[in-house]
Amino acid sequence: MLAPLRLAVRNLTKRKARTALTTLGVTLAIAFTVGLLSLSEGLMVTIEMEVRKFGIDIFIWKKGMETVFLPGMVTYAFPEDRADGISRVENVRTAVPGLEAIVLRGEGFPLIVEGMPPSSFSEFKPYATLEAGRFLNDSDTHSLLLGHAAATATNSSVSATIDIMGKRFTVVGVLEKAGDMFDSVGFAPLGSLQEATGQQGKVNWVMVKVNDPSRAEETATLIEAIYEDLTAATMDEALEFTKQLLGIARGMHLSISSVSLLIGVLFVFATMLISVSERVREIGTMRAIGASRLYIFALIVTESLAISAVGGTVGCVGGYLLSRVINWLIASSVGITFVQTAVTPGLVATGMTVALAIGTIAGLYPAWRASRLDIVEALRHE
Amino acid sequence: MSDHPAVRTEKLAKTFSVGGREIRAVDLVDLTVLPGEFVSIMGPSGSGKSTLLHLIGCLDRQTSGRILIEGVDTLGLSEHELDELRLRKIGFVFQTFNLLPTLTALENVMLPMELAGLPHHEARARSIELVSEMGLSERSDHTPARLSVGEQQRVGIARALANDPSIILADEPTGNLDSATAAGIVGVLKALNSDTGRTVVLVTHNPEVARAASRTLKIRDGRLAGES
Repeated sequence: MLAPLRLAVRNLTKRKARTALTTLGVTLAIAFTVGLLSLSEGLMVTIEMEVRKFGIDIFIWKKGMETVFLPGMVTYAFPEDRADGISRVENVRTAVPGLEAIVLRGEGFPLIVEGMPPSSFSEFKPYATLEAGRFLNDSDTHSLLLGHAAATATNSSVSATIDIMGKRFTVVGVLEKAGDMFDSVGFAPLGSLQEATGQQGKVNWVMVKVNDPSRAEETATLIEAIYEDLTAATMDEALEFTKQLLGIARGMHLSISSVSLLIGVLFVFATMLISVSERVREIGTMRAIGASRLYIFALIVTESLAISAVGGTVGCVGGYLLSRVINWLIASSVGITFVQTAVTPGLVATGMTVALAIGTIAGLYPAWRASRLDIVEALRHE
Repeated sequence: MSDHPAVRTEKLAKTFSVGGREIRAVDLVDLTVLPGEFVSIMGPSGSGKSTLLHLIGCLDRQTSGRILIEGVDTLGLSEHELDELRLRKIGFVFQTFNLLPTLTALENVMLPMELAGLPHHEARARSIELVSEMGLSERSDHTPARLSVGEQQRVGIARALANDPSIILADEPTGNLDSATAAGIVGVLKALNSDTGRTVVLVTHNPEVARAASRTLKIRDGRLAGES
């Protein structure tokens, strides 16, 4: 039935200021929600992409610590010689041991440094290209290779020195911008980093390449069976794990934004209640000339839905803009550029669904009240 | 035209309870209006005449007794059937016009047709016709606020005619109009009755207006008190 829609739109456009204000309420609620969720959504998209282009098949860390697959999530250390044992497990081609350190730099944002055997770097990041200087080689000690964003953040170029726990490391190369999560990371020879951080003979991750990727899961299970204190996750598992943790983050974002959504509902609810109480006689008249209770109910819900549909649409655009602001804030305050918020089609769909849910929830009671009005009393209403 | 009376009430009563006291607004009214009749119901304010009209128009439910619209007992009708009855058989004209303020004159007249499921273009065509019959062609795109009270009531009558009802119920239709404009509206109602044979039941406290009807029933304290 088209008639209630036209009448609803007419009623809303007649009371412009109130409609605009209510729509703004929904817009803000949806924009806030979409903007906030774009952060966890963006992390998922980024990590999925990163992990897919990553040059390894199995990631190993110390059991008992849940981790997100992001640089900077340092896990507990374990003996380096585990990597030798792992490299002899069936189907394993190479096992790269690594140590991660977070280097505090006074005022600046901490620098994450990954230590690994220099010759293994090409396994780790096969697509890396140099902007200046050279890659690390096995004779290097106390040398650093910086990702593009890391060089910018530390204001360093080739031959600059960076202090790591009292040891001076010299920058030998800067990588070109790759747009990945290792742009903001530095790389050092494993031995030097172990020495600087006082963790001789210790690593906190091992990355494995296998001969037959279709059997990666089987190999990971075998490694876990041999080394009971280690967790070996295929990239699919690591991704799944990360997604689960991010799901918790998303849930938190959603519960924060639920406050704004509740305010959105109250906005529309109050407006619709006022609107119904102002139109008691109109509603009585419509009933008197033959409109059914259902028609009145549909009319009020349609008005409520129209407000929330417009608010939802504008809110999604607003959420997109907010996500750009969040990107800018992260880039300018923390110096991380690989975390990009993402307003995905799924997120827009969520935003619109939530908006329409607001309209429905907020419209039901006012619509029910309107449809239950006594005709004669409504006609006498001033 | 059916063989049944257009409207018939049998021992019709409506009781309100006000502050614990029972008020018999309509008290055992037996009334018959034949098809094509123009009947006015006259009485002072508070006599129960509007309540009687609301009962006949199925806007309210009686406390006891029966109402038959063209032979159909309204007690046996479902809510949906009552909606349909109000929509298609009865045209209501209000004292305060009660046009929807957000719709234009033309759209106000279209509304009952759209409620009845008439396609938009047909509803529009018929509304243009009705509005022009009321002499308001030039005012059809105006909202009620921009119409004079007399014009508003003409739109109200056009709306009452939208679904071509056989019965017109008018509740003090001239109550808010000056005497000259009132005379015009009474003339329109009279013409509706004589030209198209519609049954008209009009409630008023004004003997001048009541005189337009072919029969006037007097009501006092909820009871019929004579006929002229």
